[in-house]
Amino acid sequence: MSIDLSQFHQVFFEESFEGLDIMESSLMELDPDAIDDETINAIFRSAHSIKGGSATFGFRAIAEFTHILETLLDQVRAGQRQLTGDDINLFLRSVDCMREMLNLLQSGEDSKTELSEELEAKFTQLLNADDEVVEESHSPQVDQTDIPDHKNGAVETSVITTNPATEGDTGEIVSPAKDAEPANEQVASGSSSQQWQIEFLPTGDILKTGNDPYRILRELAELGDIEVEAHHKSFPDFSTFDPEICYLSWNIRLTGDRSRQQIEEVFEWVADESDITIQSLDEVSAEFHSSADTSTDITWHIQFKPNKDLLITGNDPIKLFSALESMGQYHVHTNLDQLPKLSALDAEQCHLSWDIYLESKSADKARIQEVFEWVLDDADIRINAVSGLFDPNSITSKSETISPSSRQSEVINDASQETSQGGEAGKESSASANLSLVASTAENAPSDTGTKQKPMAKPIAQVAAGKPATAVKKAVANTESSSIRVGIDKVDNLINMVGELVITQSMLGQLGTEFSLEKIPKLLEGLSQLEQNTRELQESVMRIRMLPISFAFSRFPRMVRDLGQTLGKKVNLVMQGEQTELDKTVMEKIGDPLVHLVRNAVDHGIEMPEERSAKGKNPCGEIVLNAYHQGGNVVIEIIDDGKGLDAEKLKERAVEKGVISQQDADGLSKEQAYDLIFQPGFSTAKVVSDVSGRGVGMDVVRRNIQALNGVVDITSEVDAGSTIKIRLPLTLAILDGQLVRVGNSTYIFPLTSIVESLQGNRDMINKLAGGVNVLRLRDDYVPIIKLAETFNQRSDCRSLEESLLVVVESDNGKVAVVVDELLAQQQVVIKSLEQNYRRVDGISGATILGDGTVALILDIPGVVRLAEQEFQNHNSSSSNLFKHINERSTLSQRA
Amino acid sequence: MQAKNATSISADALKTLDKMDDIDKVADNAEQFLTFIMAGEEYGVGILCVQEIRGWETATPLPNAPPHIKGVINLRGTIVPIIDLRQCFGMESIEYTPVTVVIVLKVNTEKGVRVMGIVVDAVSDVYTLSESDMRPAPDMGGATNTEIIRGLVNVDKKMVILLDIDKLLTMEEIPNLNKLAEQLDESSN
Repeated sequence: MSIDLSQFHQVFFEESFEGLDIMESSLMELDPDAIDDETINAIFRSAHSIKGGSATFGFRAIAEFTHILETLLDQVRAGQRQLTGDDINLFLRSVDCMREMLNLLQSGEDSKTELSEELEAKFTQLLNADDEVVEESHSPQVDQTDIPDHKNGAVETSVITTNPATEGDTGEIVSPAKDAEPANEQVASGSSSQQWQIEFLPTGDILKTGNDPYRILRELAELGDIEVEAHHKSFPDFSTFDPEICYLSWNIRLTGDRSRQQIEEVFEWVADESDITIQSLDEVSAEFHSSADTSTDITWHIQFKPNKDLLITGNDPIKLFSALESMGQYHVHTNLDQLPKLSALDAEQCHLSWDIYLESKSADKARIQEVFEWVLDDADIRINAVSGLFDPNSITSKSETISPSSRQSEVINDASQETSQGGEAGKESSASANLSLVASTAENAPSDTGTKQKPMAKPIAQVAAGKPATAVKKAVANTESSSIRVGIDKVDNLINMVGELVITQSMLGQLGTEFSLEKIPKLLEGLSQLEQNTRELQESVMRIRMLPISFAFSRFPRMVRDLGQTLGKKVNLVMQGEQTELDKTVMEKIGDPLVHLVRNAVDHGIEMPEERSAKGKNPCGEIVLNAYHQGGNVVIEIIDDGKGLDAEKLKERAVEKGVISQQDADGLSKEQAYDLIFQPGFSTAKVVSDVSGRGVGMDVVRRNIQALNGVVDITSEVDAGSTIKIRLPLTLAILDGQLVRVGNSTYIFPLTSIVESLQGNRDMINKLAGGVNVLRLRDDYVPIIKLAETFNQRSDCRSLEESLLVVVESDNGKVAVVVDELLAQQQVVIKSLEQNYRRVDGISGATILGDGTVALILDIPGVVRLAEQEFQNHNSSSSNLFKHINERSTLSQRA
Repeated sequence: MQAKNATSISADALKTLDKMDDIDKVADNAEQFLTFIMAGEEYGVGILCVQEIRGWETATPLPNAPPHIKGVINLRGTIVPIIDLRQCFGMESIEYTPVTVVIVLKVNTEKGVRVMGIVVDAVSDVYTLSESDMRPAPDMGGATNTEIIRGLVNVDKKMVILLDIDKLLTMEEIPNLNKLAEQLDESSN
């Protein structure tokens, strides 16, 4: 059995992206001159979580990258590093880079990118340069431990120099070339390597915080050969024993060519909750051994080779060890030979085996066997009495197998035993077999401060080593599915509603089984209750889909800042109404249009600082993003105080580009001129920049917004700025509709678009030259559209004067639509026509009425366009008549 | 009327079920085809495309739609367009009666699975055919688009035209297949 980690990948990606967002926004807030602790901590925390997560899931590239980033951040946090604007830019770029890497991972690709390599090299360089500066000072993590001062400089440099090299080592560990291992070990045992003495004294609460000392030991074991000594002196009486408190402390001896930082990293999560002393002293170990040597205890050599399933059966080797502890001092030698590749590593399987040396006066074989009683079936255990300490000769002679395990494992056992014995003898000087060749290049690095200039070449080597490991991840399927986070109160509310619904349903059910005419009032009551329940339920469900618009806004501070820098403009972004809630689907679709609009505002709207000063404006431009509710709509405004739109210039440009003719241009009002920027192929930018100006964009913006049943509106004043107003429906799923009948068909007007409905009247209707009918609505003249004609449907042939008119708001003002009958007003669920068919002009969707038939929902701007086209086909001369009428009516409105 | 309709459909279903017994016996590479009658000719579509068979019910017409699009219906909450295959093939349309049959098909497109209904005269049979039974449609020049024909098969001395439903229903311009069957008849004789 194994846990499929990939099921958590989606969560990891989501959290990482969230973390990146936090990093980004915090970086934006960060002022290089006055670093706020809380902000930098937030950045650090996000980076740290991403690192932890990616390491857990084996995304090495990201883990490594974040690690370097984190190291830098840590120095900033500790105040050792001055942060410049460039640094912040670099950090921001690294956020982008990580986002890209995560995206690549999500699609199951190799997450190394050129950018990541470049940035990694840059960071390493920064760290390097930085190191020379702070060489004499304590590194923040080192601070938590007491190290002899003379070691400090060496440790500092080892951070940089060994890092890339040892990364290569871990690559070596996961590489499948294991065959020559025993031989390697023999060779390696001759070479000298670093020794670390680690005292690990956790506070009692460590287990409650979810930290597992065993995990830490296991991680240490991955760094090299370890010997663990557990202290249990603080163990209380059994009566006061609390299993949730950690009473143990450990003395760990690590043999392996590792930097202090790598060891510290293992303890990173528990550093606050425990006393950790890391010493790299040969004397310490020498002392330790001489004391061990003088012991006169009987030494038992226990070979403990568990089956892979040991952990699944609920046994914990560490518990066994602590049980042994009650008998005396013991050393554990962990064999890592069976450790598979990182990618194939199953956290629930035990890949380790142990050689335990127990020094005890009291222990006898029976007692030791008792300790292992529970795991006898799951492990191969040999217990030998060793007369002298670590005497390799006596072991094989007295060997006795107590496990029912097979013979073949005995051979393996013997082999591993021998190698471990060999290792044991020269333990102090032996490096782990895994660290053989690559390690030797960095062998002297920790103690040699002179090597710190050279590692620039190493990241490349590291990349090369990292590649094969990350390539394995390609198998990760791209199972992207979007999800939303919903507040628990919303869900609780929903459950309450469903509860009520069930009650109502059972009440109605009961009523139905024994129904009589007298019960009709009760039935009606029940039905109205059901209606209420349904409505409430529907509202609650809809609320789940609502997200604050800050989700869409959050990307802009960064974007505006970057753009401003690229263009050399000073821009201040103000965001208002970020808590305005909007349907998730709408939110997703409005993101890109908003980006276009904000980008345009920075690029075309805001002038260069000098120009602004010359105009007597604040050299720093301002862009306001504002969102608020208005009726059933959400309004988003993008207001800039830039140069505004010049209607004359727009017209000129449009004629130049052939979008409209000169004649048409002359007749255009200001508003209509602004409207020109939404025409395809239209751009006022003199120079095409990489930011905007290619003439694609605004037409797409408008199309996207229209697809959401939204409206864009521009107002502008030359040299005072422009305001772009987007009106969007709150939700795409449900709509308040007015049902109307035209001929045999039922159509639905979105209620929000209806201004009024009225009965036609001879006085009010005039026929214009060219055949357009207009309705005089108080002071306005409103063109009339016959829906039946536009849709080529049959209708009740009534004269215009007798027909019903529904006045609706469209893109360019009001239009009156002729219908045959007004039916009910009701909420309708919008169903897509495109899903199974295609987009139909004039129709935004369909819905299912109470009787099961399908009714079509009108897309008012689409209907107007259709009517215009139809009209054009009949009368090719007056193309813009609709607009003209509207223009005049708007003008008269204003006047 | 509806009841009568339902019985006719369930009869069809039973017939289909009878055929189902044969499935186990056929070779793996064989495919099953549902055939239907239109203007006296038998057409077949892959049975895996067929979601269900229903009686005709009034559809909501779509504005400015081509004549062969009869409109949309509500199929358990999904809006499904209905296409008159007769008109689609340029044949004379006939008046719909309660026994007029709509075959609801699932069509694979780039955008995903689409559901559509086709109106046919009557459902005929289910045949198990293998690739080797199929004969390619003869080339008849540019006049007819044979792309939508997957192959021709002789079953009991009758010709069955197998349609490639994915191609047929995703094509932007539905080709005029007027007299296609006649031409095919002539060329195969």
